[in-house]
Amino acid sequence: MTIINQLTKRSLLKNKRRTIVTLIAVILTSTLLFATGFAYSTYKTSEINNYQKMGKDYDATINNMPFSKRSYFDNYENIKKYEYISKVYDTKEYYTLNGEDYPYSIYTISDGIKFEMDQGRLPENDDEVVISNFFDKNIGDVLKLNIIDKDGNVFYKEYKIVGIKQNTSYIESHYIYTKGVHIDEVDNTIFYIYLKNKKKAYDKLYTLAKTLGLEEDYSSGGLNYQNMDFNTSYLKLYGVYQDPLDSAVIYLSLILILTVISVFSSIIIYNSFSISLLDRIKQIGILRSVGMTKVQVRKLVFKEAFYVAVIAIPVGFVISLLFVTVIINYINFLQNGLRVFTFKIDLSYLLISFLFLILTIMYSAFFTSMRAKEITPMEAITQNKDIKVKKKKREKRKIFGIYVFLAKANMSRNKHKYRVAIMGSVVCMALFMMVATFVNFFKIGIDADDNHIYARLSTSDFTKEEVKKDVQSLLDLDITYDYIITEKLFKQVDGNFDANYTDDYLKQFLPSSHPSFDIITLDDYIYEKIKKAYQINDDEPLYINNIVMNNKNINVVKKDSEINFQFCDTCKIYKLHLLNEKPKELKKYDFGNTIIVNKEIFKQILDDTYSVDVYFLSKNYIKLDEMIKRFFLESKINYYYSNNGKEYMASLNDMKCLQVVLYTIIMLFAIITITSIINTISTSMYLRKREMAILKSVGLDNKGFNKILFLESFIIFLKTFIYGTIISMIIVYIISKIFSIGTVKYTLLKIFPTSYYIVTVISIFVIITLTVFTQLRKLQKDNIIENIKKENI
Amino acid sequence: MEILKVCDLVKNYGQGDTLVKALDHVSFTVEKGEFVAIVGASGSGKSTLLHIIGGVDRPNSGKVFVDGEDILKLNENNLAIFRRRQVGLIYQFYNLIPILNVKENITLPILLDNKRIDETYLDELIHILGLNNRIYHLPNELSGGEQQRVSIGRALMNRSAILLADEPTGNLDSKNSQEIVDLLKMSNKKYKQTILMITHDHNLALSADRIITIKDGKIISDEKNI
Repeated sequence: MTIINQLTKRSLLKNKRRTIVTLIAVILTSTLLFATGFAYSTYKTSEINNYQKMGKDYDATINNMPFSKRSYFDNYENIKKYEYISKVYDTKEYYTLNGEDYPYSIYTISDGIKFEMDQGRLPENDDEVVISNFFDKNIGDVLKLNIIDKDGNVFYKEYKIVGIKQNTSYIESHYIYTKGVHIDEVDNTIFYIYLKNKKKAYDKLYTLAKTLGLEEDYSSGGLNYQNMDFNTSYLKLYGVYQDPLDSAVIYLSLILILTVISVFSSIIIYNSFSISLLDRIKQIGILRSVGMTKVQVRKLVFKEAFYVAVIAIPVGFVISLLFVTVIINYINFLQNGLRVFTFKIDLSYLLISFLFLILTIMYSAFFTSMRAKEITPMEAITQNKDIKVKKKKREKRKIFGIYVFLAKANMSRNKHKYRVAIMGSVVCMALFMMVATFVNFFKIGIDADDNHIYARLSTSDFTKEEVKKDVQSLLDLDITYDYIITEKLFKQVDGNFDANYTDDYLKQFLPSSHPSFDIITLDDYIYEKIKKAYQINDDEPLYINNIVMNNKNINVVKKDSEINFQFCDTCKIYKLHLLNEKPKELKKYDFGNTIIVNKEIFKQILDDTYSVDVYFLSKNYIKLDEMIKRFFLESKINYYYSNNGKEYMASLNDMKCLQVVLYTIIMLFAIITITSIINTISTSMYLRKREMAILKSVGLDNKGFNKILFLESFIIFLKTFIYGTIISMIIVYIISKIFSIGTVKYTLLKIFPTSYYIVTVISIFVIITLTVFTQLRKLQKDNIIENIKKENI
Repeated sequence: MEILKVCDLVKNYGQGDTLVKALDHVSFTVEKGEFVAIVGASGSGKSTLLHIIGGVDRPNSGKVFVDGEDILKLNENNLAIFRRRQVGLIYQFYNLIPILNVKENITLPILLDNKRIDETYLDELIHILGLNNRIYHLPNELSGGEQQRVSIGRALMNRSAILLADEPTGNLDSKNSQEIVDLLKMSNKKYKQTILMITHDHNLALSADRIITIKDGKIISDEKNI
């Protein structure tokens, strides 16, 4: 074994405490990097699996297409396969939903079509069907139907129910799916497109849309084609984005996270190696004086990194396996079956994590070795590299007293050791704040969502009074915590809107000069409250100049706009009162482009777009959904019903899972932070044993000793606090900028994790002070002469 | 034969008001096999001179030739190899590697060179140094005198051209001091080892063949010790 190996091994074994701390830093970094790789591969694979399981792994759908157009797909080289669902028959029998009669719609499906099944299987021929779970039927039952074909001919057919699928919407509840019906000329076909390769998927789909002659559609912002829906969330899993800006947001944030984790991890590891180096400066100086070359010194550092890596990486790997397994199980528990995550080790991600880890350790060692090779024999002989005589010290001593002078002198004398300690603490603080900012950022997302959760019933056939009476019977106050009933019209109005649109609004829409609005009237008591709050005396229309777009509230028209408009050519011209903030009474309900009018105006402009809408708010969206379903069976009113509860629950679960992951990462970083701070400070203190002993030997009492150390720890804390705050602010600012790409803007103050910041600052102060004083207690117990002698060995 | 030649060495510390002239145009030569003592008061510049000759410090100006080679022209790597092969350094505070045992500390220059250890010579050295029962002990298990003997062993192990001793007895009692000086004298006689020893103890200096006296960075006398 070479002398380099021997020196490294013995040094690691001799300084067990320091070695363990270095190992912890590398183990935790390995855990973090491997876990990131595992989490990414698990997420991606699980999501793709979920999509495949649900039969939603297509790249796009094309709706309302003549079946004959399938030849285009056969001829397009980028399409791997396509599947279809085609409406083939209606029936003479009707299905009654909320008092409304619908004919059953019979669809035929192609081979690869999949449904989310409650029970049973898919049909295998045109005698078998799958129905929705809204029907009161069971598997094995037979549907006896009189079928109407496209020419209007009626024939009798019996279908055996072989499967029951989950109902995706009430509109589809009366659909029946069979298979193998011979079709040539059917207009109403939905095609599911599967591309050969996801690369440049949108370009390929745009080309297909053009070939099919689909019209371009910009109504929702970007380029879309009528009747073509992209499976954007599925394509995202393959890193394919429609809007390059989306891709920039994701990649920039990912690159930022990876870079920051790598840089900060390497600084922490560098910090550990540096501490190790500080401990060995004298030793390396002696080795240099007896002929060790710079290359050999660098080898010493790399050898240490190698031994640490050999032990820490496998341990980190195993911990990350356990760690990710536990997290995934917990996330699956939180998801409650909505999604299932299956732990997946992807070799490519594993390799990326491993290479990333090796690089992190390597450049940590590299920078340490650069410092190590500069150690001169003179440092070992004289140990006075940091001493610099400055004239002003005497004046400072007069002003601040001997203890401040000694504390400052000590710090100046051990500048490098303290620099390492402060740098380690600052890095840890900044890192912690970065992760906390992400947690805060996603928390804001959850809070923002909370305002827009509601269920809506809508009917156009009944009066408000009838609906109100009906709804009274529906209400279960344990489930519903708020509701409002509005009467609504949908109208195009004529006014000077287009000249007053805000930039934010224009970015999203291509507005018409004759925009359409929801015209609503509210219960008198709400209407009067709003008027009072806005100090409006007359009864002219109010415009809610505040809509939610991409999780952000924006004004449609400029706040100080003067808008005059009329509901029809012969109607009175009104001046519009702008409500630039959403009224408190309506805040939790998601209104679109809405004008509020009083009852008289509403009566004057009444037309056949009339509807009564009931908005419910509830904390328990699933129970609300169940309540409304029960109500449907009893009510005679035909309501259109929408409830975003399921989506909300799914997104809420996702947020919770994300929080679990982020909090776990925070916990890991907290451990790294604490060990790193304790390690750097205690080593700095340990290395000053002799100095402390000398001070004691010249009569410094314990009280004075405490004062010096308290001042020193306070200076370390103060520097950490100042530098850490500045760097944290910069990081939070960068994150806010990155997430503000597009129309969503986040201010520094909004996403700055204030509570975490306070906790971090207090924790760092406590950790530094406790570490200094714990170490101090040890030093106080030590024998003065032994410590003075020790340095000479 | 001239083994060491020091020409016009100047070494300053600090600048302006705080300027200290550690070496002020120092020149002298040493013949092979000579035992030279450099004496002077504390702060006279003798340690600085030794460090420059040993290749661990650099002067502001001047030249140092060891065995005909200008060591100040060597790059960092070659200077390290020079220290490994051409000089043996003995410090007042021993400067042993605490995690290596006696044998490893003695053979350190050879181990750094990745060369085979001359076991016969090593055994002989250990015997001469009186460390036979201590070869697997760590430095902190040895007395001051023993540690200094290990340090001498390390300096002699590579059969260096010149042995530089900086106050080798400064940290020892009189009995141990005498033993160390005897060892140095023995190595000078037995191995024809050139020795440059710094001391402020005139009695110890009298053991040398020649005594150079330094004051304020200048050689004020250079006499043969007859």
